[in-house]
Amino acid sequence: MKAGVDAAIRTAHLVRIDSYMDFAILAMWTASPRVDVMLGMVDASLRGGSPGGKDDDLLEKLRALVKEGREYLAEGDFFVAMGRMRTAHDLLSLHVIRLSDG
Amino acid sequence: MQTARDIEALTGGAMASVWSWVKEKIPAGVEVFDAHAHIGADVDGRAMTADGMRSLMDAADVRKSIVFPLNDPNARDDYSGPNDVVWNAYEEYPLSFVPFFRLNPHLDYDTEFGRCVERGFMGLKLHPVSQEFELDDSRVVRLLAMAAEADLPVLIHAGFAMQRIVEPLLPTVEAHPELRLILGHAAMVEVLEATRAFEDHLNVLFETSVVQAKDLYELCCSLDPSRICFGSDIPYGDLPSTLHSILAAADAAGVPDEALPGILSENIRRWFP
Repeated sequence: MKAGVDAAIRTAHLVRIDSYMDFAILAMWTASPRVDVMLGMVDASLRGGSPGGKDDDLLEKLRALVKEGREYLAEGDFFVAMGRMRTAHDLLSLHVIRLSDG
Repeated sequence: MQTARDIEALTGGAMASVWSWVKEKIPAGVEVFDAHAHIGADVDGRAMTADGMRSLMDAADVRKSIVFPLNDPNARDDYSGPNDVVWNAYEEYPLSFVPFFRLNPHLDYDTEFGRCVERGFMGLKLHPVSQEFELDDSRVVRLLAMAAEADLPVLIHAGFAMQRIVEPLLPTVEAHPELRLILGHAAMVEVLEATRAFEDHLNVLFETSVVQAKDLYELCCSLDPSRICFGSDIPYGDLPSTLHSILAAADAAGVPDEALPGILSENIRRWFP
């Protein structure tokens, strides 16, 4: 893999996860009846390793935060669940920003 | 309402390493000041008591918070009931809370404005989405002029669901350069435009509660850090995750550690020593 292509596929993989997180967090803010489905899509988008394995540490952190966020929301604890989802989203977006800076 | 279990959950489990990073990042000796929190009840069912707020502050080692009413279902036309709830919280914990009152610009607000200023409230909160007004509505412009005249800081919701911020607000800021204004949620949908428009208006602060880290990254890259102040928006945000958002964004943007005491405390403390 060439360096540029490597960065591009890594970014693509992370940006698509970011968009699923957007859906889920918006569903949480608006109390959508489909919020658990949206969180399930985030879960799905996080499965498997990252391209080249370079972002696996990040994905592992995100999986743990999203899993706990989904569990807390299912128990009715929006406050704690949203904290985890917002933190996961922030870690992901700042990682992408740093990646774009080489 | 927050329980002991909630408070533990905010910093435990998968958040433990995040919270450790946040605590490491907060410079020693900094007394964190939360510039945006609510006490009372909201039409959406959320609520916060003075004691609940204090518990969250203690757990996160936050020393002082600006507090004001939510979009209260029991608000009388003049918001006096919810404002009294905030005042009572301040009287109970005067070292922890900085009380702001809230008004509905659509209604006759002169009496409640005068009552709250006389009582000693330290600022005014306005919410253009909940109370359905535009920032260039003549009643809002008049109210902001009254706040400037009374030397009363104003926090305006400039976050979720806002569609016009800079263009309707800038003429009032230019007309009243002495007006101390806190842009709640950092004018997030127009963050870059807002930093350009208000850069030279030193009495405008950008408050960071529940703003995505990517928006805060843009804020930190575009504005002197002396103009940024931390907020949580409890009970919508929580202290650990909102502290992480601004500290992680500042770190990514290359904000020097020397500027962090300002963002976390000193910038807003200049107005509320």
